[in-house]
Amino acid sequence: MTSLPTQVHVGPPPTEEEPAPAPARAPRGWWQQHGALAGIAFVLPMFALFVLFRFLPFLGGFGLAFANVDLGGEITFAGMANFQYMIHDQLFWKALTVTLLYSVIVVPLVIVVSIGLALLVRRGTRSMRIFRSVFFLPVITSLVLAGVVFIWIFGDGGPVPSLMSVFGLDTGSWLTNSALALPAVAIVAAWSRFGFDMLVVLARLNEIPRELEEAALVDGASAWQRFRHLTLPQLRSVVFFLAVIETITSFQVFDAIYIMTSGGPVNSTYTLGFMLYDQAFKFFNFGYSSAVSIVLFVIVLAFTLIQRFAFGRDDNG
Amino acid sequence: MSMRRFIAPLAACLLVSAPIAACSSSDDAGGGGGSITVRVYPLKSEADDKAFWATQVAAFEKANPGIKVTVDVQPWKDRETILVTQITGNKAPDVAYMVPDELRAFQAKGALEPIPDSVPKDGYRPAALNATTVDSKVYGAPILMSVIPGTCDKKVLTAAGITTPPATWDDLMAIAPKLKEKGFYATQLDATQAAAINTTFYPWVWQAGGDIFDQGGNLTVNSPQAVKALTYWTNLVKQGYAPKAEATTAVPLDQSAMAKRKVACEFNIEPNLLEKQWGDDRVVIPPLKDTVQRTYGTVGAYTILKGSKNKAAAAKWISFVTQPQVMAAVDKFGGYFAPKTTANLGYAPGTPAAETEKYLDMGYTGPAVAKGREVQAVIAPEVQAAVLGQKTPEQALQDASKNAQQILSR
Repeated sequence: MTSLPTQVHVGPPPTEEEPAPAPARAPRGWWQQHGALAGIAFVLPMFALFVLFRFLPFLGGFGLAFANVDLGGEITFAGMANFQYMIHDQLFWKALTVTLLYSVIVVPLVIVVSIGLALLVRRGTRSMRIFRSVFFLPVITSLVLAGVVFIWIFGDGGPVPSLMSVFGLDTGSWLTNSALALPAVAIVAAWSRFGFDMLVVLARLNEIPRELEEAALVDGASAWQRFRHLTLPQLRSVVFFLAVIETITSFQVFDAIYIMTSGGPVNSTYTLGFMLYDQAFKFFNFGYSSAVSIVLFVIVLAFTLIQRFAFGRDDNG
Repeated sequence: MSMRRFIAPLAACLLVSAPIAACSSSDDAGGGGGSITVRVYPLKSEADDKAFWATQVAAFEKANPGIKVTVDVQPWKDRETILVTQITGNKAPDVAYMVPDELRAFQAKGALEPIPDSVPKDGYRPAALNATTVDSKVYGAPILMSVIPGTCDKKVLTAAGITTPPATWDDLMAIAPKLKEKGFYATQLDATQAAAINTTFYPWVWQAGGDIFDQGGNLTVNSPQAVKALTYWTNLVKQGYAPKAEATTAVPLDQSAMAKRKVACEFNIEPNLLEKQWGDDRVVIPPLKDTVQRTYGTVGAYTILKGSKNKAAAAKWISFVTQPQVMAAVDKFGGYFAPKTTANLGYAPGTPAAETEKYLDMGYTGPAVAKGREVQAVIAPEVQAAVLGQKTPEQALQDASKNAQQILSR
């Protein structure tokens, strides 16, 4: 926030004919600045909704983490009991490991695919516009519906295991294989997300001046060199944004797992999001579920801050 | 780091925890006055059920002027999720249909009222009323019973040249090689986490002479009988007598080996639910036996939710709907069986329903344990581990026992 400088008289002393200098103006508050109130008016409804439907429930959930909740409405203070139980709960550690592993697979996968496809459909020709629409289709397709189809694709006798067997890899159904079930779900999640991310990357790509690339071309830079040293640095802010969004999304993954594996086989796809659901809605342990959600929140926050530092302080690349 | 840089990711992360917390918000509502809402689930199809209940509601309202009943037909899937969300939001119905383990879980969390004395409880089969009684208080008025005997696909048996359906574990294992030779499975197992494993794996433990909990509520999941049942399962899968995918993944019924007419006999689903897949080729057989002939049988009951603003009207509705003649209409409509011996359904002899009814007394739900469903969730992955060959049956059930003990000690 800045304030207007006070006027300082540096000339000769004022004569009788000269009007006295105006008194120093008091600093203007930020709300008095041009357009400030209009800005507030636009932001306030969204802010109010955010507080009402996001922040206050979050505080409620935070409180529940330290309580035991009865479906009859009785809430009893539990102190740190839910967190203490969590430390010794093998299922929690399993779910945390699976969630981290899932994020490690899906976040880079979806970002790499999105950048690759955005580069491919960058040209504004008619056919490219069709491809953009086609690539965006998974975003608006119900993951529940798609999940059922993917059960067949990754299941026994489905296209993926059949393709694998052509290369001499007898994987059988990916969904009954503890090592392959998570990658299968990650591929489906990436499939459902890359269309949105591709559009974000595309928007940024279109902002990069063509002259830069043309100059690099004249200088004899190869396609890879142009991408590595020219395009990629320009995408830094977008990649940071996508990394944050995709990390948050991946930590909350639920629907694809619910439809395709139900957390199995042998808990190999049992994520924290699934555990939250089970604890709250299957076993009615709202206090414990809230405690898990708080831990999930802290982990996501930590990851976001780490990514923030890793990508540097300059948002604009 | 500046505050702005801290707040932006913080705000983004708040989104993570909101959904759970949102469920704890309260809202003022209820079924006060002379009206009640009744939660039921489709016995046939949503449209058929709505039409059926409209008739019953009209009869009730005629007999009880001043009381208005709304019957809310919801899907079976995720029914607890819907109900819990409504309870925490003070939007719960007055009366809800529940099965015994579900009833026990809700009762343990203080969500249910005992059924008042004004609701007649005479004429019930003892097993039905026992299944809804906790600490000598009846929390559910039984409306239907079901049992899962065994069902064989006549088309598959004929194709494999098998004339006598299996009656024991040994019989099933004996016909399995012949079926495999012809490209069929002997049976289809189900240990997916989505499944209620108490209807799929537990019966095999019971048939081996064991149980998951003893009558005192003590965990016995790693008993020799349970190990025997799991060993039998793993042998079926290992030798290709049961499909591995269906045992460990929630394969939709329509995509399963059973729907593809590749399975000879199954012991997880009521025969009436297989009409679409097997049609008139369904052959109902007695529950399998190893040392004990026992299977899963459930009791559907009406409960009164603690948050009901009109418990008297709720009790009147339950009294009405559990009268023998109304009960018979409900059970006949859904293809189920009556928990009252005085309700005569009159299923035509030879039909799958009539054949199934013969085994009603072999149905068992297991001891009612408050955290029974939570324990199921730790047993299922261990059963999967054994079926997939990742653990021996002994080790898997040992681990299941250890994890379940932790839950029970909370």
